[in-house]
Amino acid sequence: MKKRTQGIKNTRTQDVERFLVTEPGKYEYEVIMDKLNSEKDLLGIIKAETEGDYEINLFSRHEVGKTKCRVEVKGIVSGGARVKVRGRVKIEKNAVGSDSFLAMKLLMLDNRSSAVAEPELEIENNEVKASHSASVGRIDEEQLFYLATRGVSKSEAEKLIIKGFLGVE
Amino acid sequence: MQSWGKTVIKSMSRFAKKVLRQVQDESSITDIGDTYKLGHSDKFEYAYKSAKGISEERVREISAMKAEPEWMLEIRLKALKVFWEKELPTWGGDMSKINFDEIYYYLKPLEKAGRTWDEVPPEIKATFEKIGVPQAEREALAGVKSQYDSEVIYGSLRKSLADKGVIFLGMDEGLKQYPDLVKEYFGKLIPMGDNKLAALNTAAWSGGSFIYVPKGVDVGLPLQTYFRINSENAGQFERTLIILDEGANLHYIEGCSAPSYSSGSLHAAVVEIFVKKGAKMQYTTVQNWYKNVYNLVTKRARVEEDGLMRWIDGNLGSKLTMKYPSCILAGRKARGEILSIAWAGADQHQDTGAKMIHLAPETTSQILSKSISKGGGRATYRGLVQINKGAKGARSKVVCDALILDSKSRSDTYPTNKIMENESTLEHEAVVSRISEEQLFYLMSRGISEHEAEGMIVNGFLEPVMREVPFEYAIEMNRLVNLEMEGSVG
Amino acid sequence: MKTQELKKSRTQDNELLIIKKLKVEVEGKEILKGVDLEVARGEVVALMGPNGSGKSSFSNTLMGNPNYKITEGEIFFEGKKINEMSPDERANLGIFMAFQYPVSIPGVTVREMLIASMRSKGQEVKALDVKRQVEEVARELRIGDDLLSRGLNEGFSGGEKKKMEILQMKVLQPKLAILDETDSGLDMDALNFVAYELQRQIEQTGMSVILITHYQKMLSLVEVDKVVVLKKGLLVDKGGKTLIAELGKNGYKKYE
Repeated sequence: MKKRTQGIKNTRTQDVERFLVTEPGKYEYEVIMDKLNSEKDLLGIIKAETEGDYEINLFSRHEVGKTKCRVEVKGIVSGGARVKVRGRVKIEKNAVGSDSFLAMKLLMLDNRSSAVAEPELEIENNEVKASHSASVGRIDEEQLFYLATRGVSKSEAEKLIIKGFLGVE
Repeated sequence: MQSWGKTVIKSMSRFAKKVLRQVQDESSITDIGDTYKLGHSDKFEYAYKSAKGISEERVREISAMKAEPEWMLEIRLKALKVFWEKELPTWGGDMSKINFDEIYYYLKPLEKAGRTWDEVPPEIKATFEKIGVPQAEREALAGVKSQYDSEVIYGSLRKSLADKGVIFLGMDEGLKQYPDLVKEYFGKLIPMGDNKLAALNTAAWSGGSFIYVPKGVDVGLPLQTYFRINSENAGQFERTLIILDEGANLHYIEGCSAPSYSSGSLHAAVVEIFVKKGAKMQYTTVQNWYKNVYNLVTKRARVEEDGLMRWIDGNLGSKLTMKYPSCILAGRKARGEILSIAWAGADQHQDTGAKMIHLAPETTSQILSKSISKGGGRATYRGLVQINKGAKGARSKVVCDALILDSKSRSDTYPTNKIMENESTLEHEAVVSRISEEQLFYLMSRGISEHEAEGMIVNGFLEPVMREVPFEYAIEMNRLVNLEMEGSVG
Repeated sequence: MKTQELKKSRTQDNELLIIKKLKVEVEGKEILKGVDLEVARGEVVALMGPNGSGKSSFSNTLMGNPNYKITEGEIFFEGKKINEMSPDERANLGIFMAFQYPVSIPGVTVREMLIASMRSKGQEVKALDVKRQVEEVARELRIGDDLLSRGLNEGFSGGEKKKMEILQMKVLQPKLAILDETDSGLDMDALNFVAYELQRQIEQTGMSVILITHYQKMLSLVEVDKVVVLKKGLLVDKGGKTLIAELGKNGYKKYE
């Protein structure tokens, strides 16, 4: 099943678009930078906590120059979820002076789930700044220990840490 | 005659830092018209050249010429069928122009023939000059006839290895002398069904290295393809099989950074490496094929408990290279490292990368890929890190950086990270950039010319991988990069 | 203490650097609006002024940074007009700049770079000699050995970067050194021995210096011959050492 977010509009000023995925399904988000000197941020949260396939495809394409795009996705994976995040940044030949950043960070909370992260870059001119990063891991033991020494139970600690990580409830 | 003997010594001493006595050489290696150069000793009394194209008949001929055991012929025939059934991959570089029917799949040296030094393209000659390749070696690398192999020099090296129990033979010889050992491992890591080119290689393979290192033995000096008797410097379908027994240690070097001519336009090699418990293996490849070559290689290593596999890969030449060295980390605490450099100049596409499969707990992997594209070249990184369920405590770090030197060129990064085990960590970073003006200005303010500064910055970019490449190769590679930066190499 | 031979009468021949009516534009905006300055051989000139006055533009222009466009005026070094020269050509004439924010060059050590610099001047250098020299100067400047084998400025602290610039100056022995706020980022100890090393080099080699400073302190540690004040792209004052104390007390208010 394919779900689309509300269309992402291109505006001349910097704008921030957010999305939230909480159910299995296939999602696509596209950011097309076609206005000179524009900036856009795409921030996404994935809470995949139930059994199912979650496929999130992000596509950011720079068609003209001096465009700046930042895509950041954070997610938690548990409960038998199978998450696949694919992020493609394409900077076309004419998009001189573009600045593109893509980051994916996934926390795996249990042993029943799986995550696939595919950050991609296609760069066709060299006067650009482009980078991406992806990390998959679990909650830092040290953080859990620290909270435990402050009397916080493991499950409560996890909730706190996740909240801090995702920035949402 | 004399000169080739000297050449072999020089090159050995250059790469292996070991000086051997000059000896009279006996065998001859010649190449054939418009096909690749293949080396054989003159044990064979007649010259033979198969017709073009691959067929069951051809495969039988090849097997018969080599006097192979029946089981190997069967494998070849099966693989041929698989080759026909399989499609070329739809991803990767453009392979549409490869015509499998136009290739000679097997040939043996003829007495005369082969090109003369005059026929070598001027830019290749110029490059040899500039990067300092000794005169005699240039002919060898350029595919000029009248190269010789020295049985006796090689013989003394073989003896010292034999004393340690190390087997180092050409693959053909290896099959003859150690059929059971070969049978045990051949095709176990890269089965014929793996991909179309692996199938082709399995059907038509010829040459390559066969190495076995016994328990606990540290081979000491790096083994090189140069050293092999019957050195097949430009084998199209080389098949290499390396087995390191427990606790063994080996560094194997393949290739050469000086531009290597090969009229054979398709290279589809297969390398299988078995690293047993606690063993350490480093496989260094430096490839600079001339721009007519399709270099499509399948390389894989299986690493057992506490073992270490390092692939050091330098891809400078060829028209299209598709190569993704892989490590299957099968035992606890097994470690895999892949350090690679790819240079994509005009009309070149380097589609390279790495694969790490974590099957066991506490396995670790590191991928460091540095690519450069210039003059319309295209550098693509394609990677896979897979952490299977049960690989608790597995850790992986991937860094792939790309430098695009001008607006005509292109860089792509396609990594896939599949994590099925939550008690693991994976970090992946990629940065695409160009030579910054700030850095140029800084170096120029120290009196360094713009061109030289560019070369320094590019070599500095490659340094983390270069420092793992043996010294002599690294020097040549640095010089080559500087040359490419000047645009004086075709 | 300066030797008398270095202070000759100011004729054209003695002027190492002559700047006439220099106007400079950066990103389309005029930053220097007509600057005149002369620096004699062996002279130390302190260039002062509030932030944004154009001091860095001045030094970058002298060094030939392509982002800084000379729209009017001339720069003569040892009698040669250098307006059109590239940065490396200027460096080979004997001009050196210690950057305010030195960039990092991954994978290239300071030694490798200095060998290339010296060779481009046509000097015959042996790598081993340079290595020894670099190590010696590093010791004098209290720069750790490990920094010498890393990529230049990669992961260096601010102070380490500044000291690395001075190390290069000592090895390359320029005729004119432009120090762009070298003192910012140095702690008291470092400031003391950088100033000491600078003074020594001036006395031993007759090097001229344009010293752009952030802190007054540097000016009390080095023998300054002349002070010029830059404000909004123009030189608004010129004087001797006494000007330093005055500025220290009253700031730049009097130039409003």
